[in-house]
Amino acid sequence: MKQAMLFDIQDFCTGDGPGIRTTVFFKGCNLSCRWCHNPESQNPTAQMLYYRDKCTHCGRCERVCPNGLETCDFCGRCEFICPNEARSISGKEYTAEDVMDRIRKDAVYYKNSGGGATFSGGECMLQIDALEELLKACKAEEIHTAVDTAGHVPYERFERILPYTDLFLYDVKCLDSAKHKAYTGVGNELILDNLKCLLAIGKPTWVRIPVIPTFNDTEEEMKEIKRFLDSCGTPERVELLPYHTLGEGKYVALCMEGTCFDVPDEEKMERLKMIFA
Amino acid sequence: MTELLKAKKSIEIGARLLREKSPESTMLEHFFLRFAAWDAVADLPQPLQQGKGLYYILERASLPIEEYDLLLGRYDDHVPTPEEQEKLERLQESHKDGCPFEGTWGHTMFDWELIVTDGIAGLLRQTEQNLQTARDEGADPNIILVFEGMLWVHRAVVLYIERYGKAARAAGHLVSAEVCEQLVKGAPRTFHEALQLILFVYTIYLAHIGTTNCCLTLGRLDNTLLSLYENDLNSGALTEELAGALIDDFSAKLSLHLGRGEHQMAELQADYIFTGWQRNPVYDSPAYILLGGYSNTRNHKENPLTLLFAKHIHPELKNPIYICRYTGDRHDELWNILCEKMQQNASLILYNDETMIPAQRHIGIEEHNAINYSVYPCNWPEIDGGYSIFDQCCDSMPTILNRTLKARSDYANMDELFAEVDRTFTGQLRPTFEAYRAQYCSGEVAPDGMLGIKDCFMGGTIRSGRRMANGAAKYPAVYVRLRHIGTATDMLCAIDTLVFQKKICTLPQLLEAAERNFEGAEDLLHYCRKAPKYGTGDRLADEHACRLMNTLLDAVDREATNERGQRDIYTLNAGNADMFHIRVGSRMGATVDGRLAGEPLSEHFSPTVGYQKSVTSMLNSVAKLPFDRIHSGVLNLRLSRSMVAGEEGKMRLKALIESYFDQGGMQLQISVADTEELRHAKEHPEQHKDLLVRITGYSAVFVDLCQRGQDEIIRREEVR
Ligand code: SF4
Ligand code: SF4
Repeated sequence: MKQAMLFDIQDFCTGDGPGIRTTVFFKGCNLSCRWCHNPESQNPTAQMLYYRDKCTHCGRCERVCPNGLETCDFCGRCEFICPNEARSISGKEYTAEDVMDRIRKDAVYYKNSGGGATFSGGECMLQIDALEELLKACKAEEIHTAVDTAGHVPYERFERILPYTDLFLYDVKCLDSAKHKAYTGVGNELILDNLKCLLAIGKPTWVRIPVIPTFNDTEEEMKEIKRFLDSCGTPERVELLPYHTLGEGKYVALCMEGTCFDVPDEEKMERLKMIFA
Repeated sequence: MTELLKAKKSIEIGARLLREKSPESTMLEHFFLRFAAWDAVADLPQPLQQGKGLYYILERASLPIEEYDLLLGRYDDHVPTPEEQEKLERLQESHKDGCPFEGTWGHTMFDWELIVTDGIAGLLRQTEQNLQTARDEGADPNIILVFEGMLWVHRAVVLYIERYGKAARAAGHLVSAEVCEQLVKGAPRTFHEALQLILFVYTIYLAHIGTTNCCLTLGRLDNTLLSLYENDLNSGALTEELAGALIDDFSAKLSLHLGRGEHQMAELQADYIFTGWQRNPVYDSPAYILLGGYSNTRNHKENPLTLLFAKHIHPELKNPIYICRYTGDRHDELWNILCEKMQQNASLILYNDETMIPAQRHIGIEEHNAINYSVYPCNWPEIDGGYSIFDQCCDSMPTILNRTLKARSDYANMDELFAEVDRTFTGQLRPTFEAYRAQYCSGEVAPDGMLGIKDCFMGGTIRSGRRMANGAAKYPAVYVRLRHIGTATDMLCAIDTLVFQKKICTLPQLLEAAERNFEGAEDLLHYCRKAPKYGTGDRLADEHACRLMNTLLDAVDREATNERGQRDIYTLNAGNADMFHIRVGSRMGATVDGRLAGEPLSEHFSPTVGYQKSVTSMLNSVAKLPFDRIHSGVLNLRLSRSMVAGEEGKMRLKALIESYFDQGGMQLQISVADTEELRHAKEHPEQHKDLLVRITGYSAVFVDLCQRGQDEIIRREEVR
């Protein structure tokens, strides 16, 4: 059985597709968006998050660590002993059965709300074998499935999971490929082509656009995206997701460099949403 | 003014009173008449004190009428002048040794079916006849006394109605006058008359009899009033609109007695008694109305009166509290309306018929009675028709565990520990139940019991002249309180994990650390806190919670069964914590789950604050408890406004509740309020006068709570 490297499984998610859902977050991503609010999702291996501001230098972690804190093998002892939640391991291997156990326990909520399981990340399509296995398992139990993707993978991967995926949550950031590359690390050709294919075969898709001030928060940008979408089919929904700052502390904890953006105000969000109404 | 406008005004004023009534407002007439009646009947035997005392009061009570009243039933409640205040204090001082009248402290329910079917005039005639028969047959003098006392109570009520009718005629309220005239003659014949009769009885109980904190359940009004309602609609005497207006006025009048503030969360016990209850003994007493649920007589889906009541739930009122009985068979229109009311933060509590009826059947309640179960304020279970609760026993589960751990601490495994819990608990239960048996189940007529007001409105007493607590009740029932399961389960999980599984310490070491409030044992404290916790979806915790509950309930079942193998004590098992999680917690030393001395215990069936993982994990865990053996114990859910906003929010709310109940959950109480909003309200009370929150089976105006109460509400975890 293929193990999945995940950094979280969250119950009661109400923003990742219809109804009440459990969202499975895969670790590892082939984009590095500057506004990413889950920076720990980018690296495909386990990582230690160390929150300096919470640490009281009590020394407990050092006492229990069998390897020395710098040569960590993610045994988890320091995380357990730290009284201040200052150390947190991100990334753990799960068997499909472990994940299904978590998904299954909320089956009744999915049934009553029209919800299900969402596979997200990072980029879940990078671990396509594990993803396919989980999607199949969900379908076998009649659990609605959604795949949240940035779409920067060969279309064959989509083809593998199409039969078991009820809905795609598909990120579109901007149409200018050079700018896309500057802010996410990759151009957008493959992403847009894949989206075209999905829409062409009529696969239920919700297009999701992060609204990032100074990057794409203008009416022109949105209208351009709108024109593109109109040209390739009809997504079931277009959702605009405002940038938020909740991930900022994690950059520090990972010793990564992050970029801060302003948070778009509600009025602007409403105006931009109208473009897709 | 049309009926609809009158009803609207009534609701508006009802809601405003709640926010604007002066904290000094006092039910002066209540006290003055009560003390005078007390003096007048002092030398009589108690049943006659009860009856003649009430007659004295209702002969003199004022009968206020407002121009917009559709129903009658008002009373004095005003800010006293200095002279009045001085007189009140003097009388309170001279009468502080307890009152001979009312035998039941607190919460009760009458047999409303009986009252509506026969009218109080009908009960009076029955009592007269039965008294005559008892005298003719030379019955026990105590039985004759009970009949006599009861007769005066019935006479008093009829007199009050007659006087109100005359006052209504004089004030030009001719419809109300005619309603009263019928109620003096006999049973109510219309929906309007029945609603008026119920309101009269309620008003008399709350405003003229009411001892400290007494509350009244009005039962399943949608069933009790259904046939009258349908007859009236068919005959054209009533329209749905007019019935709705009557319900509105009725609801507003159920709130008239309310004062500002709340008793359970008051700073100090003494505070609330002297500021609240001394001005108005019922200043935060809720009225309960049950809606929906299975029925003995017809398909529950088809009750149009349930729907009408539901449409007329007013989220801006704190009273009445609607107990909505949920059935797995979802009746869409009703369920939809109730969810909309919950989105608006209405005073509404949900009970799951699918567990409550089996739980009543489990203790031997007959099916037709179980189907008609009811609920008292504040969230205490009741059997059909008010078959009376006589006592309460047991208490905090952490205390039971502590006692077990004190008995010995050399357990080899959890099985041994559970066996000792059983022994300890049984040792406590047996003498208590033996005493109940002697008191409630013997055939003797007790010579010196108090005739309670409840007795006077119950068929058993009216037929037999025996009091409910002395042979008239069909089901002599006691509450078995099993509180704070969260803390208790966490204690078991810490022991299991640290002592038996990970072997981090021995049990004596753990107990000793807790004894020292974990001073110098910070690592151990930390491990205790990281052990599995109740209500988080953890398997071990779920298992221990259920095992503990079943162990205690098995002991209860065993001890409630007599030597002949028959159940003779009907135990209503309740997990209600009220605010005891704070009070008891403040006096309890540290516990092995890592809770420090003085910290609150877990509330009702909720997990310990701070450990909750997600709302679905919590609901899944709680729903695993054996609710087919438990009769009450609410789960408080505080939901953020955004979580329940709009159509999607309604869908989420519905799905959460349905899923909890589908899995066997029992009872839910929902408040809609954001943490930020509550914090803001604490700082700027003047801007949040309308913010209602659920306490424990009733609602309170958030800004009228004391600081500690506000903090407690903020502390409850918010579901976003
Ligand atoms: S155990 Fe936690 S608080 Fe103590 S030194 Fe390590 S990281 Fe800091
Ligand atoms: S996870 Fe284990 S190996 Fe890594 S730093 Fe913590 S204690 Fe050391």
